[in-house]
Amino acid sequence: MERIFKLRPMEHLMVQFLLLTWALVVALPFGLAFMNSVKGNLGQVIRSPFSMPNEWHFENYAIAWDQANFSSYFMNSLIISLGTVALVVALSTMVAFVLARVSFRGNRVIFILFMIGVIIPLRLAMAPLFVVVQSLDLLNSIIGIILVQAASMMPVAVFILSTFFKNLSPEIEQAARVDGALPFQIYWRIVLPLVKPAIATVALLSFVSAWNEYIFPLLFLQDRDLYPLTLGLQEFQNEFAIQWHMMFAGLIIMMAPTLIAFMLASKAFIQGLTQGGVKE
Amino acid sequence: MFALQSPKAMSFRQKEKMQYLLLLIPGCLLYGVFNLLPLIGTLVLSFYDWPGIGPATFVGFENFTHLLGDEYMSNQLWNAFFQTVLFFGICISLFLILGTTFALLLSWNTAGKSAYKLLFFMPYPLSAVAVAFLGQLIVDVRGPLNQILAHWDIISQPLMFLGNEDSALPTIAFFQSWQKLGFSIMLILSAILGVRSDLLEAAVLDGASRWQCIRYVVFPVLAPAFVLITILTMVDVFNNAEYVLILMGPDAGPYYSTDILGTFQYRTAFGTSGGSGTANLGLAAAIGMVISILILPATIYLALRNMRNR
Repeated sequence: MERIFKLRPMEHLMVQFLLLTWALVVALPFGLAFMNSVKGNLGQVIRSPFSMPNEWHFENYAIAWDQANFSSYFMNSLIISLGTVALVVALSTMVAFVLARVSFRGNRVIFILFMIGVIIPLRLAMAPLFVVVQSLDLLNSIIGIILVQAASMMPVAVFILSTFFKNLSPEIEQAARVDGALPFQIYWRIVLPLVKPAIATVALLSFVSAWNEYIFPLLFLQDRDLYPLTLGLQEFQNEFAIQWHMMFAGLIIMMAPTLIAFMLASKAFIQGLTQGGVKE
Repeated sequence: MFALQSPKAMSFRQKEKMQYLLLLIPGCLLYGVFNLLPLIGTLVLSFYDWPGIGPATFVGFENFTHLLGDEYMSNQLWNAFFQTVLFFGICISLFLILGTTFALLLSWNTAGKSAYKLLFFMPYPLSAVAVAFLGQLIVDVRGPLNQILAHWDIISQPLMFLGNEDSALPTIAFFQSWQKLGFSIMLILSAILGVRSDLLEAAVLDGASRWQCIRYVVFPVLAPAFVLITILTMVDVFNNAEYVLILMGPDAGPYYSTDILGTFQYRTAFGTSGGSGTANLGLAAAIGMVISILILPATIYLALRNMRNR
């Protein structure tokens, strides 16, 4: 054992060298983005992209935020993502609870129908999805985009949760039932508190994917006032493509919330996203 | 006797049934209307000719024959297909080779292990839009990458990574790989760490060298992780064209050199960015069907795997 996992000094050096190389490849773009986002003009960015700025122009961020409407994009992203998380968590726990804990005719059929959603990506059905959203008069509405993004997350969420629910021992639940507890109470008081970790995974997964989603808003939102950050950044790019320092500032504004959240809860992110990715 | 029961005096069983239904229905409705219905609709719509407004006409297999038989359409389809395969090939080779390398390195006791893990995974949760634009600036003709290459005398003239027909698609594939490599590293790493230590100990006791341990004990255990990564990447690349749409728009320029199946489907459904193309939802649904059939083996594998693990 020792011999396999312990390294001689030379080997240690080699391993560190390789790891550092890739670390640089990953970190350098972020570093460049930050350093160049506080430079005064395009000339400085192009002349010496690798040097520190001689003056720190933090006002670039303020300009990007105000001029480019970032505050509105940011709010829209937040509303869409929180709405999606709330809807997915509420409905998927309810469905998974019934599917995993109650045996009734059609249980298996419903589960298999959800599995179809796990394996076939909704994006492949973009044309009929557009028809559905259009005929419900939900084009160009935040509600519409929340419903679509929540629906696209439902299968994975139901899947992760039902695995969890299956593993709970049924005894407490049966005892409660004998005492006359109804399904609503069992769901709310007994089962939900027991699956908190799985709920956290599902919430994180839906938040990240709703926050990052590009295609669905592109299809369904036309009004600039309703744009989330992903579409907003594209608008910003159309406007500021030549002003690189502003572009970098806009990118940092876009990436910052995700990076901060990742730093604060890296373990949850790595575990949750890996698990969610595997279930796709 | 049952007929006399008023709704208020529902029996416990009835109440229970009611409540189970109320728990089940909203989620099924949401999923059914906005996810399952469009998926089934793809099958139906692929047999119709429909520009998005007005009446739809049933045309049988005409969309499919048009797609495969018409020279203009089938050229685009095959172009998009081969470029999707190329895109997939680049991503998967990087994921498997670099993923295994860094996972192995991280499995040894070396300094800063957890910091490296954190850093390598960091780009993964970012949005594709941010990563795409960041990459675009870095590889720009006047950008940092070209400057550094020129500084080291590797190139004499700046390279047009995204402006050149030959290099645009591989460049975009590199952006995506850069973002998503962390996922593969984590998956392979957890497979390596899951190798039973008694097996390794037995191998060491039998006099196996470190390389022999890796080759004969660790690698065989990694096979399932490799298969999983391959399949997930395949499904992702075949249905997701975010990067190309963001950077190149639905026209997948220069000269369709970055066109992959996802952009082809998008362009057919909603027209080009210039508005010159005509929207054809039936044909787009047919393309969706073709892609679904292409990834069917992969998705069936995933489904069986999920069912078994349940």
